[in-house]
Amino acid sequence: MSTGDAVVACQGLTHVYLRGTPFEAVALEGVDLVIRRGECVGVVGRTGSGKSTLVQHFNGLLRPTEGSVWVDGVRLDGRGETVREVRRRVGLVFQYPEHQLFEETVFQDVAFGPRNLGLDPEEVEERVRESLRWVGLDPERFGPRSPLSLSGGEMRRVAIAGVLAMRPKVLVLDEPTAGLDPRGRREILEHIRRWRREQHLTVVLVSHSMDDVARLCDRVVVLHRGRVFLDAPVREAFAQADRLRGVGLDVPRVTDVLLRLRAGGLPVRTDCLTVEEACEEIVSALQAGGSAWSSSEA
Amino acid sequence: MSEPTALIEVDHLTHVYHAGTPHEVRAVWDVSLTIRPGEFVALVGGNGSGKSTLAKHLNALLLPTDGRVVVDGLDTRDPHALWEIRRRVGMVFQNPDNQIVATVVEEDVAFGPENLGLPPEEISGRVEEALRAVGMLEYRLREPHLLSGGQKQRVAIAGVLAMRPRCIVFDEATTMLDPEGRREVLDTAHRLRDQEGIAVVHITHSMEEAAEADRVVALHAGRVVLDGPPREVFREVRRLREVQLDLPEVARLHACLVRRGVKLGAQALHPAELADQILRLRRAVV
Repeated sequence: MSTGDAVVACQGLTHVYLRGTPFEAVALEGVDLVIRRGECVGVVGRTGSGKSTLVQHFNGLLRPTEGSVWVDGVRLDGRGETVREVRRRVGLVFQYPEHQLFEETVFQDVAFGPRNLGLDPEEVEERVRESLRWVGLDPERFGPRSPLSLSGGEMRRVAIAGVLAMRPKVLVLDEPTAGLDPRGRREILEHIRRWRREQHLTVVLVSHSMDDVARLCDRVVVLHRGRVFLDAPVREAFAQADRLRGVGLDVPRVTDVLLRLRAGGLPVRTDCLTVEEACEEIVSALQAGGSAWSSSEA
Repeated sequence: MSEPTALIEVDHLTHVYHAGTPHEVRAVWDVSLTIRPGEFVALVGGNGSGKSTLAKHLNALLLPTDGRVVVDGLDTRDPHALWEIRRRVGMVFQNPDNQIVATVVEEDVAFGPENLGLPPEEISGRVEEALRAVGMLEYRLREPHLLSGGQKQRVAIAGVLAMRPRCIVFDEATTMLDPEGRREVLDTAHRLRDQEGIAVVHITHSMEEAAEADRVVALHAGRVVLDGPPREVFREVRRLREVQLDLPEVARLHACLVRRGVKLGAQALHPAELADQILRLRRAVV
């Protein structure tokens, strides 16, 4: 399989849980997928569609029942130092990662991974400070605090810092904004955008929130019953509202408005992703169509 | 104070965690609020604003540090009223996997009524009625762990319904669900309000979900900062921003169009509403 600038690639990936028992469940079936360097890919689908199973293959937490997974051109199902090293390039942030904070202080918690790599103490400290700064937490102020004294959004950022301290090339985030208030959610999304720009991270965002995916991702992969149902640039994907709704998904609210306008006879593009873009699109469609729409021209 | 129409009366409620220790936290501060029968109230606010603490007072899971909460005439501080209060105000929590106790759906729903000591025919009648009301009757003999998140939450709602409550509190009960699961739970909540007259208190971070309520109560730092119909609350754009809340996306698009000089009507909160306003404008031209 030619991987080109692929950083993660799956070919014919099938995963069956509890094979050979009465509880056997096919979670993934024949998934082909390539994630290229620097991309941000949204993986969406209903609960049980196979999203979490898929991303757990990216760093070897799960092994394929059939098919294979490559990271940086190395096939993950082997053993040995290379394979271990390569798996580390993919950092996985689980759902509600703050439930897994366990150390006495924020510093200790973030230091846990790098310490296990056998790095010397100065290097560990440097990585912890840097990672905390990346998630917008001042190491001096937050380092000595107990994780339990932080807000939900701060705790989640500490958990993400723990993964970033391993210096992954690919960051996989499973529902990173679930349960956060609008401010916590904005902060996390803003940070992800910055890591992409500044650290050249490749990002995989697993999410139920089409609004988050629309704001952040270049491309959407829709899973349905363990198969890839749709794999397309974000704009193209959200323009196919009927197909998405057919598999229990939603389109962003802004897209919903545009689709209704078009159905009602106003010729607007329906692939706008932000409020500002949709606003411009509606204004130009109105301008093209007549003159009595604006208070300034009335 | 207690007008006859009040179902739940929150009267100068203050709640302090770890009072008298260095970790003292004032979570709710002098809040007064009336929930009326059959009302659909969305409770919104940032993390740490006090909304979950307030909600846990509505069925005596927490007791006031100061002030009082009266449910259907019963004071939550009265230990003899505890079970009656919990019967009248039920709660559905965030995690669908933590709320189901039995291995068969109908047994789970029967758990509450059995504890009331009702006769078996009465129990099975209530279980059937509750499962029908949430659209889960055909799943009565299923194993709960094989259901989807939205279905599990509907079973949890049925368990509450079988107690014949007057109010159900949804404590971020849609947060962990996918869009379809959210829709199932919300539609169920709206239907129970419309058909059974059950009051709903829905705690959520989603301004879109809040926009569907009759009334939105916004908390910030333990106090009520806004309280009114969605249309009034979402008009307070600056105040919302101050307390870290967003406008629904559709309202933001409406505001943007108005700024660009498009002659639209009053603020729209739902996609269909905004699309109608825009299309009507165009029809007026033709």
